[in-house]
Amino acid sequence: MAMSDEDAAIQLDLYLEQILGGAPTLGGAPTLGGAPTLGGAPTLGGAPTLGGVPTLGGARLVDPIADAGREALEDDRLAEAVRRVSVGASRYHPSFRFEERLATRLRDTANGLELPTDRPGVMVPFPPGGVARARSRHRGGVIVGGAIASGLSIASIAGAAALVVWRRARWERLV
Amino acid sequence: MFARPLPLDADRLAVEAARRDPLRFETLYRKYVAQVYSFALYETRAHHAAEDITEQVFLQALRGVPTFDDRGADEGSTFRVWLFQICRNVLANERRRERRHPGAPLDLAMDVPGTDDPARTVAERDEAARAWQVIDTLPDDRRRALVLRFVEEMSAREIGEVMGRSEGAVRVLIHRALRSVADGLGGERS
Repeated sequence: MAMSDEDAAIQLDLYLEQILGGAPTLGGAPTLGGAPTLGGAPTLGGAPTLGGVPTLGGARLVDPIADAGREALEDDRLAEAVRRVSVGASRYHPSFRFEERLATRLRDTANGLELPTDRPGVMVPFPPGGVARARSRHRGGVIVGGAIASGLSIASIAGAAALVVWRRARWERLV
Repeated sequence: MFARPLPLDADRLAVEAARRDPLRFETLYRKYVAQVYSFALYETRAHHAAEDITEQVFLQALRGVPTFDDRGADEGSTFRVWLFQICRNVLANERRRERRHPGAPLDLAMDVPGTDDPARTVAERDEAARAWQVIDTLPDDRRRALVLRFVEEMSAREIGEVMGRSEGAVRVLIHRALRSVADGLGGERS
């Protein structure tokens, strides 16, 4: 039976979550050794679900998420598109000069803001796994805007230093 | 059976700290500056424009943090969604203010991370570049949804909140966008 657009979209979304969450394979074989995850939440041990519907039974008991992915991507062309888009999804980082300049501007602005005095204290739960785990899980490339300029600057300084050392050594030999 | 962990917003601690002392906003700034800049760059295709947008977004966010409605999220961060909503508004204002001249498309896949095999790296880069060229031709909402999903790694729910659509509508949008990419690639295989 053909899937509706909405069902296909749900299954594709589960598959993308699997890929972006760091699954090593693209529609690959289920992994019994490692715990397959959906956005970091283990799916073995708990009740596996597919869009909220339990999918116990047959091979899906082993890895329902990978199964969903394979079903969603029976169309090889769609799988290929997902792979290429995912490979080319680079995140761009601003230049360090810009980042620091804006940080300074934000600090100056923050210094000029009035502190709230009437806000009561709030208990905030600590993140499980610490702050590091809560950070971005981005696995794609990161391109730094100022990297080329910084590299050239470092190369020029290193070159000048090498020239000075060489000339001093040469002078000492002559003397 | 394991108990389901309580919903937790990843940034609640930092947001609360920034509310009490605006100087503490820097933690949130450092965490998200690359994401906001990157999104702005994909939207504007110009580094200077992306820097301007990023600056406006964080200045607005700093001033708005005391009134930010921290609802707590089941996953991810309410703050990040709020930040991208500001970014979307700033971008819309910029477009209204001056009709953007269509610039040369940014070669978004020029810097695909390398592998140990240079030939494979070149081939993968070319394939990815081709896919992103197709994405460049998609309608704005489809292109934006793909950038938020693949580059910013947002969930469909988060994208929905940023774009003002339902989670289901975003899933369908992404599905159609990827189908368009597949059609655009026209059966090319690696």
